Amino acid sequence: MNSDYLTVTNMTKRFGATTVLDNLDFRVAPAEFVSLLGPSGCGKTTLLRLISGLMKADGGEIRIDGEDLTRLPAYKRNIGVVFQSYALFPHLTVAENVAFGLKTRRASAAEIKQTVEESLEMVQLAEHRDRPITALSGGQQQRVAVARALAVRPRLLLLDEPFSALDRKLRERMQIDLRKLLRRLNITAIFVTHDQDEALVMSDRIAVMNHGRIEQFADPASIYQKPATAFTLDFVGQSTRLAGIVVSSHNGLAEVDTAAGRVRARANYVRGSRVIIGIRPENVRVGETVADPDDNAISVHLSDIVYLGAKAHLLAASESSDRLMAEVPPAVAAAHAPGQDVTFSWTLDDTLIFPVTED
Amino acid sequence: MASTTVIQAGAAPARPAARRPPPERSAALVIPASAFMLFAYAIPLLLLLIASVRTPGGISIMPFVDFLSDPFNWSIIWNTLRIALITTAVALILGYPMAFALNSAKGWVLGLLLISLILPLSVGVVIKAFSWQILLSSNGIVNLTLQALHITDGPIRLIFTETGLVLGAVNVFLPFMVLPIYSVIRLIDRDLTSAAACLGAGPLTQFLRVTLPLSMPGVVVGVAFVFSMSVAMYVIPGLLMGDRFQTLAQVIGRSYLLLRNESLGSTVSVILLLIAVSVVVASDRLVRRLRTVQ
Repeated sequence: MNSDYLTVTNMTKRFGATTVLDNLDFRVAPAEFVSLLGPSGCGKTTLLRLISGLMKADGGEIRIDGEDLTRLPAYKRNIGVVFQSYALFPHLTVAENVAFGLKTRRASAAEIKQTVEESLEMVQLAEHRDRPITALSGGQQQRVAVARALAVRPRLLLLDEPFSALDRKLRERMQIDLRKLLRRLNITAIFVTHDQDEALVMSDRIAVMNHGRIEQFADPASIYQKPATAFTLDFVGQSTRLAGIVVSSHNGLAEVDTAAGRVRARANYVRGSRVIIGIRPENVRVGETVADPDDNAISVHLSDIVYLGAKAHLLAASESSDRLMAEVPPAVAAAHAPGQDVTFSWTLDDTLIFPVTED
Repeated sequence: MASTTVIQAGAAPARPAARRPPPERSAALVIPASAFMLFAYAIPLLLLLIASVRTPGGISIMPFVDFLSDPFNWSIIWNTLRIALITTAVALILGYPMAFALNSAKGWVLGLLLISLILPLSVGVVIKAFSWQILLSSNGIVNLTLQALHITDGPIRLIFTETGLVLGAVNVFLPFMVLPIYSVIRLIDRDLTSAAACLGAGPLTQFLRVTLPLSMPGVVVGVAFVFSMSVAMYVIPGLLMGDRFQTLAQVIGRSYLLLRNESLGSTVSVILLLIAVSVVVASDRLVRRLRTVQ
């Protein structure tokens, strides 16, 4: 992929003695929708503010389409921002909010009128044009914020958790609407979120961030199916994590001793290495005989059954605090009861393995 | 009194409405204050209004006609208005930046600024006015400093001048300008100026189109406070200007205390009240009009 529309290189930001971003590199392709996903304090909002110019970097460079923006103040960058609080001007009407950026660019009255009309049309708020901001619902305010940021045709759109204040149903609809709109306008967008579902639904690519670094930058399917680190495995989706020690490893097959039993994984490790085994719950089969001798099978003692509507989770406690989790249809869950002994099995290919990192 | 309507007019930053108790229950909370105001303020005001139109020949507006038909009385009204307007303007020019300084200050600096603003309120007006008499006298510290810095050759006359009066009055009333403005700009969401910047607005445009209009409710309250206090001030002009300089408040004082002319005193009181209320209401209207035009 041609990934050099936005290039962020060696970006470093410190707050006092704390380094929030450490020599970070980040590239985004034209018209791409990228999510920055991570827990609070991982540096994702800081990165967004550095790109917007609202915050000054301690080192590094930001370019859009080859142009160096590093030393430009925010008001000269032409980057649209949708704030978490929306930051709509409470003393102006809906239309005046959308017109704000056009007025600062000294657009003609006719041009302002037309662009405001189109922008409000785009987010289905045309009939609310003359209402005060405070009279709108949260979802409507959010759309005004998007319309206002897009009205000036920014070369990049940044969104800082724009849906976090909305209820779930509305949030899901707005995610799809926004994605459609940006695709139609061919706008490059960076989206900050701590909500993994939101990131998986909306993004072309997801940058998983932790401690001021990007742990993995890939498309949603790769992030979910092939997490590069134990952090990504843990942060995106549900999983069983088993801490273990490699007891043998040859021909790309490692045998690992865990509290739940011996597990095989495709990897080369030095004997005695401390590793983490990861298994997605939907890959675990319950009570079936194992066809391939390399597949993993462990007999467990069911401790809980969690009913989730369309599916259910069987939980098995092992000796340690690690819990094994299997996802099954509700009918299968109904056939089991806590206290029962069953076999959990999964294929070698579905066994994820990560080195234990110190942090 | 006008300040309550002004505060309602102030636009709060856009944020989800906080949970409020039902209106009928919160209405009960104003009963004690309302009862106090009724007996301590509304009823005396009504008595004053009645006294101002009562003549030996019955109820009549003649006391007002008499007072306003004398050109000398118009010079008194003009004195009163001029000093109050200048005092309010100077307090606004000094107070507005000060409110922003307070807003950006943190920790002990903020504490120090607030203390230096609020603590002087505990010193009585009489003491402050006397202090200014000493400071402004021809061998007072103000004159000595001006001469030491070679700004003036000899002592200049400050005491018993309008300049001295405005200095003293601004000193007394400044907190009433700064605190309302500060309390309003403190609540302005800082993301708003960031949003303006991202829409291409430089620092000046950010101030003129976002911060200034959002701070206007505080300015209106501050202006209402300082104007209504300085248009009615009595002690400060008395000590810093003397009896030659006549303001409405002094006429009222003399009517009641010296001349024992309650009819004149109440008439002038009502005129002063009308001036104060109309200026405060007019400034509130003006700001609302400006906001809708924008």
